[in-house]
Amino acid sequence: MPLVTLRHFTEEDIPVRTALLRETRFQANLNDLGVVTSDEALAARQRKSITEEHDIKRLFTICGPGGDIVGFAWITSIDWRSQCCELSFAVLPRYRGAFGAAAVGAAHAHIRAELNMRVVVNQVLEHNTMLVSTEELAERRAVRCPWDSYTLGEWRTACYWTDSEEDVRRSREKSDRRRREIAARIRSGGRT
Amino acid sequence: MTETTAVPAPRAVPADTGPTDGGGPSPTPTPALLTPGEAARALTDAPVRLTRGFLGLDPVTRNTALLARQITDREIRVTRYDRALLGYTVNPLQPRQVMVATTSTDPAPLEALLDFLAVYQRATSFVAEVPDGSPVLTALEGCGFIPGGILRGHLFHTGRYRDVLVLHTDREG
Amino acid sequence: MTTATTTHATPAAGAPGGPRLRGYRAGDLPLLTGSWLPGELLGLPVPGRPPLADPATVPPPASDRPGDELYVLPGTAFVRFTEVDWIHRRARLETGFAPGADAHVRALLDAALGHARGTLGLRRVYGWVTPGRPGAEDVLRAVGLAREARIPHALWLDGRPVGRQIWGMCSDD
Repeated sequence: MPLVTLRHFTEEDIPVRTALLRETRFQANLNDLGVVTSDEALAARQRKSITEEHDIKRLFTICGPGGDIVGFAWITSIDWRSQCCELSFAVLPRYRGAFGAAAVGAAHAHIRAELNMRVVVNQVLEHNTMLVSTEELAERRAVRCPWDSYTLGEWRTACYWTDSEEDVRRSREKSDRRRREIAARIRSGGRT
Repeated sequence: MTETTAVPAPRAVPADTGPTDGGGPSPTPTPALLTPGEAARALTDAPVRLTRGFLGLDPVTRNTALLARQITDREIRVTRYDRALLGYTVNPLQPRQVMVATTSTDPAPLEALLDFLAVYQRATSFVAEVPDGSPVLTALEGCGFIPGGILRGHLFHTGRYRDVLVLHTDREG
Repeated sequence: MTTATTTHATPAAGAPGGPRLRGYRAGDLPLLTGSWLPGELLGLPVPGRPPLADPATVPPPASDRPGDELYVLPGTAFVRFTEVDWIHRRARLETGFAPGADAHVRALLDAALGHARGTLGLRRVYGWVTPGRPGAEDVLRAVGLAREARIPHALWLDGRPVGRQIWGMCSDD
């Protein structure tokens, strides 16, 4: 899987993220603020996050191996004292297949290893199966919240769960195990 | 899970590079005092291993806007000297004491800063704090800094708590 | 600094009858000014200060300074956690005692450190100590602090620079 890096979101990134805010699947899966907000207002909101809102929000840019922007991650509802925050991310359409999982991993790794967050709250709208399958969502969710969001003309049901350090460790082990199994199958020519 | 890294550098720029003329370091470097915004950007672009803990600043966890605000609030001065960034802030409780920092492993730029502070700030005492294992320790030792102690678990970097070394040196005026 | 520090006094925080810190209120303002040394971890009044010497003072909480946590033991002392850093889970501790409140030193420090760990969730607390007060080191050690660093010439006092120490403690995660 490709190497991705995380860096601080900068003013130069605003046009790329604004375009993403205008993208249909982003609007359905996260929020549709971009439908009714002007470019100037969207830019101003993001600029304010960069310059003033460090205590309540942090935005990051996710880059591919060549430094190209592949997506964005951001944390909100930050409770510094409790070491808890909500993590959101969005990958540019052309990179979704290649970088989705790596982007999620990079964002989780950064906020734990550098911002010292211990509990991460995840929210995924139930219809959004881009990165988490329906089965996995049903397995992981701790709360299912109907009528949570209204995006693109529809009420959406949200699934919430938290990831502690222990959850991340288990998830990583599971992922590693799956990767080893796939590698073994490939090596054996699919004879297992 | 894929191996990932978390780095602050926004551009693929070799961060050691100063405002060069395209060749090597100039024979007589001219120090340039940076504005807080320039200093924040310079620290963000420099290699993480040299900048984390630079006068308590951390480009990994602070974006340039937040770094610039901290530099202003704490009255930190940052100078570019050839390829190195040098920083200092005066101890408000003892104006002859200055806390200093460098991003260079070479003692020469720091030595130049100490000379400047001795002459123009009448500083006689210098203090530095660096994360344990920092490569810039060699520059401090080369300038005569001696250990003053260790601040236990003072920093959280790359997933674990780390000690900070306190060093000092005197230049009697 | 000649006043000895007593360690018998009031019960420790958490013990029945131990002191309870409460958040600062506007009526506590007189507690924030006194004759202790600026930024001192163990801020006991310093006898014999010149009449014209500026008293030490700490600012009341302000919305533009979110890195401070200020508490009081009403009528007795303040406890200030400053330079609070939630990433590194640490804060610098300052206290200031009203005249005649020496008997509360041990209990107040216990309460402050307990509050830092238990309520604020801080992993590390540290502070400045200016040596010379008889008995002070015993009290600091008794509450779990340890001397971590010595910094010469760190404070201008009575016409000359004097050394200060950094004392601190880390709780395990």
